[in-house]
Amino acid sequence: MSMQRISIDPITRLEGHGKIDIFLDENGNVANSYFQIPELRGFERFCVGRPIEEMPLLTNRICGVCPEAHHMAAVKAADAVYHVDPPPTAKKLRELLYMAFYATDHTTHFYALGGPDFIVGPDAPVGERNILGVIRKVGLEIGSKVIQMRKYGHETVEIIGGRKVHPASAIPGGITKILSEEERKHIEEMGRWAVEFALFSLKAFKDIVLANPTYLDLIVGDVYTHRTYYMGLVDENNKVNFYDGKVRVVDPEGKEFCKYEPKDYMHHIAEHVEPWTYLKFPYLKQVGWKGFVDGKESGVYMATPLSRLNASDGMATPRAQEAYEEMYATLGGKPVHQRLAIHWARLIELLYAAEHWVELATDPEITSPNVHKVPTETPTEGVGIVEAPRGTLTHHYWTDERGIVTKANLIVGTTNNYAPIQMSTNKAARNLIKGGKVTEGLLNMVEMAFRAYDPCFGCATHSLPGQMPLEVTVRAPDGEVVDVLKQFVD
Amino acid sequence: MKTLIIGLGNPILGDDGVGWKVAQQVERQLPSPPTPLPQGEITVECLSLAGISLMEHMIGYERVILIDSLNTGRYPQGEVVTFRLDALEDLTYGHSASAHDLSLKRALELGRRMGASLPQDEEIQVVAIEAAHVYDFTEELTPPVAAAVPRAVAAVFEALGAP
Repeated sequence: MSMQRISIDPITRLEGHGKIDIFLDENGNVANSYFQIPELRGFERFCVGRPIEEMPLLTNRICGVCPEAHHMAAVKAADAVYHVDPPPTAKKLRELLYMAFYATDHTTHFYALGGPDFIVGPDAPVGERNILGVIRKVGLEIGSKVIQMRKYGHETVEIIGGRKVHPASAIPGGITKILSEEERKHIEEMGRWAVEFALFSLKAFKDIVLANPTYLDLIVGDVYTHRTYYMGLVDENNKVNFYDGKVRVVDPEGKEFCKYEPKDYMHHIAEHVEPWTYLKFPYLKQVGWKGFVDGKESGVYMATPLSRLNASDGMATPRAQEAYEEMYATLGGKPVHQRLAIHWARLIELLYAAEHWVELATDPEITSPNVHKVPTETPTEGVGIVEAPRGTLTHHYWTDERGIVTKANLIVGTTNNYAPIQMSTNKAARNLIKGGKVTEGLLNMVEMAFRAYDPCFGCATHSLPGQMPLEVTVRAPDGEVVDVLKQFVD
Repeated sequence: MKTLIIGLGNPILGDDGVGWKVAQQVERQLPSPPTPLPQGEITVECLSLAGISLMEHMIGYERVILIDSLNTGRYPQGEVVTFRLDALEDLTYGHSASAHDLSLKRALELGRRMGASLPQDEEIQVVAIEAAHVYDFTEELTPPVAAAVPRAVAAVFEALGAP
């Protein structure tokens, strides 16, 4: 037997059905691994021939996970297509909706998905390693808080966006919603609760994860470390911004490599093609593609919560800034390369989102009726960039003079991270699987490598059974099954 | 019995949109149903959600009927299958089968632990339509799946009328 193949087939239809193939050599060590995801076909063609105004509604159907992000990126691109600058209140209302979405999304990822590895333990029995295990370990209170946080997030999105989850109110030139004083007050109260929840979450992370030497070793260890470039949107003071600003990229030493306007993204980002996957690998054009390798000479960049923190000079709200400083002091300064620290960065962003939620809800302009500027110029072409929770999200549309879409290009959040995820899973597999020894615990450690990125492959399908089993098949070169491991228990 | 009928899926991703189309037809036929309806309020919704968010929508209802595409490869295209949710294997149990969410079963367990008022397992039924073309962006259903819509609508009314 010269080569064995292990296939991890774990990812649901929710993000598209991906799998990891791990090839073993004759000694049972990892020869290579491939993280594959299917391509959803024909989205550009689907957009062509439709009015640009439809894009914010249509594109939020691409993905069941972050429709709000697509809604915002698309409407910002539509503003640019019409050469219209929305009134300040419209921008603030969009951003307020977006903060509530962020708080909801980051909460769900931490408690339901990333957190169980740390709170319950990466090698805990499979049936415990979920949010119910978290509740058993930490107490029922944590579950109630998570549900409450989600409820407040959804309520705020519904008040401003007109609908839960799939908002509909942002239009080219502004927003269709005027906030009443009563609604504003309610949103402010929910935001204040969210700040307390974020502080509680950071404290839980410190008490349970950072105070545990085993977990801390896991975070700072080499298995989950890569030295790459980092990308994130920043405001005029180089502070993290989710809704607006310029894209800033820092090199593996933390120095600014470039900072560009959204409209210039094509000068900075190119895409590499591999024969084994349909999805392309974006990289920094001015550095070049050197393969799946670390370092300053490699154009691989990451776009995650940790990247945004690395690419910025700080957070724009006071308590999040304190948490930011604490993280870098604990992990040895900027930039942080340890991928599992993405979970920590996510909680710092949760705090920023909650604090900024309150700032916007108490802004004197937020209830102004001036929420729309009628576009008067001839539509042409436009780019909109926001930070989706899982990475920089770019929408680019070209239209004819009537505003009918003639061409579309999207770079979704996770796509930015395709190369880093491939590198991380490969490194974890090489380090953890030795001598043909493949256990469920080791596979979970490999999964942890990509789970940190909160990957999403852009599809809101929910076909049943909806989730695929994590199935590991070890094959002999002739295709004969040597061993099968399955992770589902029910 | 307070009942919620949910069409699930993505209306712009080919056959994945079948759940919505069936739910919309059910809603249209509710005023003059083909079979007698049980007592109680009936609500119809079309959603592109899963896991925790889907569970949150079920709060306050005593009975739920989910309509969705089924992508198993075990049935011919367009086959309509009805089963109870708890008969569906929970394939995500305990690991990150979804990078973003829990399975619906796990989410229901979470909701019940939190004291939410949710329908019992035996009151959550699924009407599913086998479909393969769920990766292409289009609003059209393929012919075998489109042909299955009336049968699926009938299956929903049958499930509604069942004691």
